[in-house]
Amino acid sequence: MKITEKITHHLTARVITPHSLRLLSLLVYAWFLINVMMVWNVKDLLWGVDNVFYRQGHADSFIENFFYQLIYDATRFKIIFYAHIAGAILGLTNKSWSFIPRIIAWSTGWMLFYAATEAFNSGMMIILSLAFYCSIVYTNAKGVFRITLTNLARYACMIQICLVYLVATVYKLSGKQWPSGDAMYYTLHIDHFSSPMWIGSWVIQSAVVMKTLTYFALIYQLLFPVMVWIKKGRHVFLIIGVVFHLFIGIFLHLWDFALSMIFAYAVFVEDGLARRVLAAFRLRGL
Amino acid sequence: MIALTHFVLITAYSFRDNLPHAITKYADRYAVPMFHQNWKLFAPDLPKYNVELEYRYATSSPWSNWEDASGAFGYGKTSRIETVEQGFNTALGWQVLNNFYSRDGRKQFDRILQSPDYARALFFVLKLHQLKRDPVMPDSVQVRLNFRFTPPPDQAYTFQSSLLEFPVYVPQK
Repeated sequence: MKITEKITHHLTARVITPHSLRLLSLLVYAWFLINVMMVWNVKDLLWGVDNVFYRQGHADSFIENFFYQLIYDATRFKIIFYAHIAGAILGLTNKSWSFIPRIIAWSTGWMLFYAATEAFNSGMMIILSLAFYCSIVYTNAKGVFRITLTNLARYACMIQICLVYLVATVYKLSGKQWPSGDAMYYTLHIDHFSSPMWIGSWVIQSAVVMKTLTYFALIYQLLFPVMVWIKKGRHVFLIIGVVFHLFIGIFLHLWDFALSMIFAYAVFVEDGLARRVLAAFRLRGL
Repeated sequence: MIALTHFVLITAYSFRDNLPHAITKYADRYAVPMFHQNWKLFAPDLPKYNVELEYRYATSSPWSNWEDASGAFGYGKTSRIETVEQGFNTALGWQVLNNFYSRDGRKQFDRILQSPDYARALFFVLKLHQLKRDPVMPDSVQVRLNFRFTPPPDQAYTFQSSLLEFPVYVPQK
């Protein structure tokens, strides 16, 4: 069989890892709902008519006016905000029509993001990117067209996550603090990412601890785009990544970013394990 | 065809620095609102200081005490409003670095005051003040940046602070 025929067969015969894809799509839209809960108390300050953002003009075209509409017209906040929630809830389903609410969740997610960019970090961007791919995921697909779309979305998600780590590592290596091992030291001296208990403590003043944490983070991100494609030891590597991102959530208070990365790992999980996770949480039939 | 157009535009956007404007203008319009990504969290380098936005106000009375722009309204260091404030601080810090200068021994704020970054920070504190403290606009308001510089890891562990007060702003009523 020719290589092109093999690729075509691989992409069109069946959904490759239906349970891990299902788990990923559940977690991506669950992330939107978690994010909504995290900003619930300040939603009016971020997007309401009396929001805290000074507005500026943007380029004027159909696409931009659509995605930036909440910047210009805060009176649409409630419609867009609740459409986002409804889209995310219905996006949790796995039906042939689920792409419609998922596209709504994705597009309204961008609208909310642009109208309050300072309130978000890379976590929102990563999830929006994955949500775009997941919008075409349908793991019960029987027709060739939907099977192919679902499989392409799977690879797009995998490549996207690898690119996140690769590009982030390249940027980090282009600076001075990461190669010198001082990045964690400087991070923990910024109050927003730190806690009063850290500043002045022996931990933060220990060059060994700070350099170990910095190099661990750097090496993990550097290895990720390679290691996740190797079946042997992949789960151990992902567990280390979960611990790494939990550290970011707990100690740097970046829960949205931490959860987005942990959730994204679902696409790399073995299908059998994903099936057991879905069964354990009674989510297979959702 | 749709997929091909998508990948051509995304590729053009990814290599936009090396392509003519005639091409990138279309790529930008397509990619920026829907597919732009930024993975520079904590990269390439972190600021070597902690910075907070503080403000004070006067309403038919002497100046209030300086207060943290988020903390004054009950938002903690890890809250989403503090995240917003830090975004403004970063932008305002960039303005200080690039547009703050002296002439005849006097600090010159003109370029910073005309920047959108200053307008955003000022709007932020005024809006929170109006919503959380007093709906009546104060007679005067002033913001400042409070820097606490992180000592280099190989030097004495002592902190130095610096306050940069911006000129008083008188809101129009």
